[in-house]
Amino acid sequence: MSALLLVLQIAVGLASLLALWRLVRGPHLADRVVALDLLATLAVGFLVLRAFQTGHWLYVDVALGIGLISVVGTVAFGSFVEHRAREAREEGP
Amino acid sequence: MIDILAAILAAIGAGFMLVAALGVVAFRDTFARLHCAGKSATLGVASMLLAAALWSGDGGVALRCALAAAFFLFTGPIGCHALARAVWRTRA
Repeated sequence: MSALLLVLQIAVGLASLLALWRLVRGPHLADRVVALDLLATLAVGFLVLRAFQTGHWLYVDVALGIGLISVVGTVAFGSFVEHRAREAREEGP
Repeated sequence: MIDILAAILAAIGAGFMLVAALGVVAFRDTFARLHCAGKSATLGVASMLLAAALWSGDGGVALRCALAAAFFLFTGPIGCHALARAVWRTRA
């Protein structure tokens, strides 16, 4: 089980690196928000794997908190993107 | 038996997460990236939490994990939809 957990953790870490690359590169703000949301989800997955590994199930509560905050952040970012575009259009030429 | 099931579920979850990250890097459109990150990652994390619920062997922890999985299954599409709506209205 521990070898499998190591492999899964490496997979999730690799996925985090890929999401981080999109977070740095993303041409638009929305791409960066997508990458940030994915990073939070990957953090939740990593914490659950860590709970598997150590047997400290308190990690699941931490993961739930991260998920809560990430959802609120994503919705707020979506609203922000929309409002910013509308204001730019109203002020435009 | 339950150990094997939990291991399979956790492996499925990690695989879906890796696929989601690959799609977010490889796809060219913002909507395609949203489609990939919104569905695969949500299913991956829900599967992983279900594996934790199976493997913990404790009623309270299992209930919390199952509730967290249900929470992610509900809120993942909500965030994805909010973001997609913002992008759609911005580009129109």
